[in-house]
Amino acid sequence: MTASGSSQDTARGLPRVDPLIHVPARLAIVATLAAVEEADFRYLLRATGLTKGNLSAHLSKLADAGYVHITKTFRGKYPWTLCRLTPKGRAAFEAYRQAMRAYLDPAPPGGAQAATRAPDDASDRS
Amino acid sequence: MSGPMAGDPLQWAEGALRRYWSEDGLTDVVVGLFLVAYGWLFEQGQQHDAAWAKVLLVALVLVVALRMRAVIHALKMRWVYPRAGYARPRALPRETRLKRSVWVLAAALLVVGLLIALNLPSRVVCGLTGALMTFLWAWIGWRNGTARHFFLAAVSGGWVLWHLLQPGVVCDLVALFILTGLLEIALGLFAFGRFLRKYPQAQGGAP
Repeated sequence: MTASGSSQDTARGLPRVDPLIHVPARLAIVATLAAVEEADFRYLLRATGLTKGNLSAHLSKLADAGYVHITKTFRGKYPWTLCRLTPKGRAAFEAYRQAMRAYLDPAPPGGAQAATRAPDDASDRS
Repeated sequence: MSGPMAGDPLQWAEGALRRYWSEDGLTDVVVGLFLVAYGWLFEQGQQHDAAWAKVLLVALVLVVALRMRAVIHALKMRWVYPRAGYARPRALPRETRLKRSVWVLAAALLVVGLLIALNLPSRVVCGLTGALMTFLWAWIGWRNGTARHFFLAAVSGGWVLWHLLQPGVVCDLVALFILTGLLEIALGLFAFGRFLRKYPQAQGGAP
């Protein structure tokens, strides 16, 4: 089996998921924000275990995609960065969860598993 | 990541939020104070038939039911969030909250009504209330992963069992409220001290 054939086999049956959320660091950020109404930068640092630079970079990407809304304000004389998931981000995270759940807990043939397969895989089988 | 994110990422995040919420022990201090105050006012109202105690008891229950979350939030805003970060839990939809409140109220009224209608002996009432408290402590401990709540469950359950099994000993619910309240304050303060050591005051703000 060639290398390309192997990667094709590996890819077969995988669900199509949002690559922006699928990265572990960003998945941790989005999941953490999905569980709360809003959280500040310090809480996200602590909950995800990321470094300040890493967290800042990933948050910027999520904000650019419209998944996270960031508010920069002051508490006393210190800057305070508040983050919250937008409705778009929440919907994307929910879709990601459903796709992964369907892939990991497949329904009987013809059920939810088939729905999450890529269309080209379906054509391969026919 | 701080901890394995096995299974559903949302459940992982919700579990982390629950552990974070209970880690500082401030909620335990507030609940402990409520239990002690409730027990003391109840005792004053029953034993000395003090009207002021009954009024204060009703006021205390109302304040706890309506404003406890705000009190805990204010304490955390001062002591917890600047150190370990701020996270506001998701509020349930208004309808869900309303439904839940109605269910709790209906269940409470049903229990009180049954106790009055059945005219159960005080030992049985004491045993049932103690069992309910024990179950609640154990449930909180299991949900938040906190050993101190299992300890409170053990104390509460042991106390009630000991009083029920000893012939001639009066099972005093007020004493149970005050005992568990004092223990919860002590355990909450211990957890708070540990929290302050773990998260010293941050210098400067987050970027």
